[in-house]
Amino acid sequence: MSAEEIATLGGGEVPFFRAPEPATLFAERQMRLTQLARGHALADYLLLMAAVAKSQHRLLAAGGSVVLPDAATLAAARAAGKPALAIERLPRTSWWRDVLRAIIDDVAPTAPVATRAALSALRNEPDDTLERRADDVLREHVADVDLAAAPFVGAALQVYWVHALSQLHARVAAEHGDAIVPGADLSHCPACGSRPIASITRTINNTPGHRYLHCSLCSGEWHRVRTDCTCCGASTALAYQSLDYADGGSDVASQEAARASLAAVQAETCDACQHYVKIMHTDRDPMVEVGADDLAGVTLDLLVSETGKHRFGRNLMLLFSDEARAAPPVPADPGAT
Amino acid sequence: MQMNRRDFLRASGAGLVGSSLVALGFSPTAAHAETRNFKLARTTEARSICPYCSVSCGVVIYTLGDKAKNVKSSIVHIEGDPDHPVNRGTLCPKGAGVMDMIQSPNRVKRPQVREPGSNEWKTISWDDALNRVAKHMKADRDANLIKTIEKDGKSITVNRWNTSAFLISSASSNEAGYLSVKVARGLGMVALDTQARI
Repeated sequence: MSAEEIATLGGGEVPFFRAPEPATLFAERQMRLTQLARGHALADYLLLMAAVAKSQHRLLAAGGSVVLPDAATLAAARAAGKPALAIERLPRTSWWRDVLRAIIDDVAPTAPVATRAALSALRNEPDDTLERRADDVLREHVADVDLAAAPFVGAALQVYWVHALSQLHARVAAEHGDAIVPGADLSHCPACGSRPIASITRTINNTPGHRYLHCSLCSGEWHRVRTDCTCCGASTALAYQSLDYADGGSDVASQEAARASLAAVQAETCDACQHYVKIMHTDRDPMVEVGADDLAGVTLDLLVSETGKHRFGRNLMLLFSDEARAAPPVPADPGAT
Repeated sequence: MQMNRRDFLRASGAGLVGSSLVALGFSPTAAHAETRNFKLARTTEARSICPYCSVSCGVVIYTLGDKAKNVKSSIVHIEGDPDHPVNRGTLCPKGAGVMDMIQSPNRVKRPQVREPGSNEWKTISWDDALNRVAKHMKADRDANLIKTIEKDGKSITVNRWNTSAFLISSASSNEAGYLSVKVARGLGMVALDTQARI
């Protein structure tokens, strides 16, 4: 490297927020789900969700009307340390319901028979029922969420929020500003206030390993330093769990364990708050995609939850009836390192 | 034992039963069977400072094993700490190979002393090492401390200890650096330096 190259790297800041790429986000998710489905225990489910992602990609590219906060609302939210596109406050236009029905129309013909009944019921529900379902999914009203409807309602809401965030980002970037700035709570999305799906480490300025949390709703990614618990911010009680083959001789076992310890997908577990969030490493596997790899890595969830840890990450493609019974997270101290 | 539904699902290995997957008519059997082929490998990540030079790059040390379960833990990987302001995840070739130094059988892990007149290094305990250093420091300070000087016909208290110097680590945090200076200055040392100056 020349001195000039080193100087440019040294001056490169790590951006706090990465807006989603609407052109590739859902297409990559679909590709990765299709790839992971091969030989997978949940292949049928992954392929159904791949079809949903394909439909999301088509509908997002087509676009629709969203309501964005004006400059004053944005400034007020920022001053209060609140998300700009908060799930409680951002108005939803009827576009998201059009998206939901279009996703169902796209997916239903190839869906399994048992799924089709649930889909056609959802397709014919009146608008106000769908609005209530959207609130239940967004606000994590766990007792009321219809688990069968949630992945599709969630998929439509994702399209709505990704579109809103991209529009807002483009508008603010045109004014040479940052649309999304760090809020008071680093465990939830600074753009919309949702829980993350998982962490993903990315290569920034040629150096790998920068940890971002990927939002379960708007797919925005916010930076957070490594080895801090996503949920409670503690850094002293973390461990990283990954899958290791259950059998094998002692020599083989230790080699496999060493390989497993550097797996591309791990669960970051915290003994202080008893929660875990998955972390994925693009420097170990450049193909990892947060939504798809989280869903396909459900074996890791099952094994980690057997150790008594609660899932803090949330994937709208696979909701659990008992997930939010976990204690509400303690907001991290923004001053802590 | 009290058991809520969550505990029951977990105990019965039926974690997916209350999920979108089953609600949409898919079978969780294969996914539950899959868990029998795997166990968990536990790794920890610890932040540290590269021990080589005065730049003091941040490193992340990956350790495999669970101390609580009486399994021997071992360092499996070391890389630059992407969050460290000094190096932002980068390491020089020497630092990138620091794992081999840590795992080298030749690495000195305990204090050693070579007595005057001897040509052999002798391993001693940390207590002995610190006591020896403290005794040398006290003897030198007792012999050479300048308590007062004469200036303009007056005697001024200075408590200078000019005959020993203190080299402070470049890997210190602000707090450790502050304490190092306080200790050395409190003894009257004048010559303080830090390796970070290099």
